Amino acid sequence: MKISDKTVNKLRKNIAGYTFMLPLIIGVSVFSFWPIISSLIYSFHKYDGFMTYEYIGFRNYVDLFKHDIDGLGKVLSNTFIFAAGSVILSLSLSYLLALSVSKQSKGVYAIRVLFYIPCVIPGVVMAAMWADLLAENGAFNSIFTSLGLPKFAFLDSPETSMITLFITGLWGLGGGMILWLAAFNNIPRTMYEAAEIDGAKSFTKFVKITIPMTTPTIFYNMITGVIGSLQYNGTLMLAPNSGRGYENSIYFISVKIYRDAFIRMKFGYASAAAWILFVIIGVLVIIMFRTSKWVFYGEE
Amino acid sequence: MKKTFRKLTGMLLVAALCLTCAVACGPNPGRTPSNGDYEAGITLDPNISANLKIGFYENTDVKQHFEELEKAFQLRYPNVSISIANYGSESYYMDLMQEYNTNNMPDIIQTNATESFPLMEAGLLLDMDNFIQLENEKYVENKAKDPEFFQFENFEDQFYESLWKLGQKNYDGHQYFIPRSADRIVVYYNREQFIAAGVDMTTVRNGWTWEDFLAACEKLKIYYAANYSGKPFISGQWQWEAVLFPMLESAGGKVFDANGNITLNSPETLNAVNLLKDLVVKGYTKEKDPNSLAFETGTAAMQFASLYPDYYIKNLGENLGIVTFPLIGRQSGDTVDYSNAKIGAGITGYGIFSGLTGEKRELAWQFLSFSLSREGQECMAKGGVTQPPIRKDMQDGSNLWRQNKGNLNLDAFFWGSERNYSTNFFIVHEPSKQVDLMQAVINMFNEPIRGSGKDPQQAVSDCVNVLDGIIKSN
Repeated sequence: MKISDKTVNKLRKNIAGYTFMLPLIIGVSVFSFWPIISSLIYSFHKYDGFMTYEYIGFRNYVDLFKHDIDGLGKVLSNTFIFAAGSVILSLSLSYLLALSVSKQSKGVYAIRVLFYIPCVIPGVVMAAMWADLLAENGAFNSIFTSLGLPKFAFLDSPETSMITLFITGLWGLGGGMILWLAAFNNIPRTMYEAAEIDGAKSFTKFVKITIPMTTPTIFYNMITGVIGSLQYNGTLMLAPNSGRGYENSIYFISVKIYRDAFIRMKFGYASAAAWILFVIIGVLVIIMFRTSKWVFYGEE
Repeated sequence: MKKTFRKLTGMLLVAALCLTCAVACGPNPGRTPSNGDYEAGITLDPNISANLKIGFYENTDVKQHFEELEKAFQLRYPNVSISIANYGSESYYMDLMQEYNTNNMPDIIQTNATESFPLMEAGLLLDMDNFIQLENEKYVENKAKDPEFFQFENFEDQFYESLWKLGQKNYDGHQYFIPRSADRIVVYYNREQFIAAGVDMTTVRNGWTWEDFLAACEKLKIYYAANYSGKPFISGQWQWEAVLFPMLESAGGKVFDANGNITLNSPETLNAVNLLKDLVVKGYTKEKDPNSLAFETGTAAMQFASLYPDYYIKNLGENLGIVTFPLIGRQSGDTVDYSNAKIGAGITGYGIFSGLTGEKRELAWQFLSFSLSREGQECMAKGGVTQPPIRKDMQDGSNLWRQNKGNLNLDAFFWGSERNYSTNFFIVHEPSKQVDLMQAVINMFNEPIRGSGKDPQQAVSDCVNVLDGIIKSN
């Protein structure tokens, strides 16, 4: 095949651009594209990471739904409950937090910093810290005991473990707060002034201006929140029973993928579970986009 | 036309990329395993020049014991060097997998009695029977020449059989790894506190029974109430299979029958679960130890452990006492029968990578064989391995591991070795299910002593359901 002079000239002209792009293309191909394809291929194989590597078609997928060692249904329902609870709680509370610190007043910057500081703490440190705080004889229970209150089981009971996770998740509200504050700042002041001239009260301004004008950020936070919480595996470092919680009460799909791959040495099976998670996330994201008419992107 | 051409070219490129990835993504087969089907030799040229790479997972610094072994081994094979790769216990399999797929596997692989099954199943460990057979023959020949020096029946007879077998497939078959030392659960106790509590010290001897142990606990409870605000005094190890499963076995509970059917739901199992629950109910111990250093720091009177005394001597000095794990009997009419009482035991050891061939494979065996010799065991003791030697002829005080231990009852590590028990109930099912099966039974013991405390019978019934699910799963 002969490459035309025009194409060659175009290549020459853009060679610098292509060269700049090359490291990224190679990086994405090797570190993202390759593992994605690998895991898809593994998911159709019985693969232990060493010598066993045999094609078994869809058996991993069938077994996941029919004969899973942990009960995929239970794991998925835990994951959905956690995702729903944590996204709703963190979105709404961080929104309210941002609203409360959005007005310019004395000390507001200090409060913002205080709320944001926890987001700077690395995950491992945070997990170790929570494990200590929530332990049977940890700081929280010591306070309860000193006040004459009974000890709380936190992560040590199947009844209280999920709610404990929701509460620990609120630690990172400051991250969401920053995004909301940025969104609030982008709302033109003139809109509020016009509304005030029309006699609008604070609540009306909030409902009619603030919320509609921040819907793109709400939508963005919702999408990333759902994806992040469905992939949550922080319990690995925090929860008892090897990250699953007692009676598998906080056993999430990402933890299951990790256990299947690196403890049970079933890489094909774990890859199939990862692809199921991918499909679930994909479907949810598509649904969210399809139903996103409520998001206001300005005059179109 | 141009657009179509561009689209076609784009599609072709994507297809080519996918195909390349598909081919590249298949696992690297590494070196071909040669399990069982190989010719062994034990007459290696001493001038062989090679490096042996040893992979291990222990977090403790074992570098020194390999250095000591290397120095002594080089007197026989001067051109052989040893390099070590510490992978860390948490990521051991992942690291080995990475090494395998990059053709960089260690020649000698560390493993232990309960975690060796996945490695055997994956075909990574060499079946060492051919070498052992040759060593046995050589030993018998030597014994004919010098029966006084060669006092055992054959090569294998030099080691504790119950521990040696733990390196075999299903603990009774082909040898896939060899023990480094003899590890066993013993009871460490604070002698000063025992005496102050008024415990009848004549009962605290090797082979003491669960009833003796409970009597001591009752005295200690009173002592701790008066001196330590009633704190629990047995530092808990209740997630540890080496403590729990011998209790189950001693009480007569069986998880599976020989065909793999669940037989756990029995009065014997319930007795075993209640043994632990009673310790918690009576306030002797807790599910989790609030202070993991309670025993070392003198705020607990007892601890079940397999660590060798050096670790505790540093803190407790002459107050340290050792005694065997209490024997759990079965009620038989008016008497209690202790003949089936078990004591938890296990081994750490080394296997040979099955992908090794020729002289390198022989060299790896020679190194392991050397580590089993009196000289090798002494080297390890010198280099920091403080567990008792695996050899039967090294119990006496002339050996390094016994020295500087005062009058400590080190016989606790050997007393009644026929009672040694390593967790093995899971071997009737696939190795990939081992972790989950063990965890399910550990949970059965722990649920009644945790939080609100599940009814022991309910814990047993729930465990049966979990085991059933695991067995039926993929």
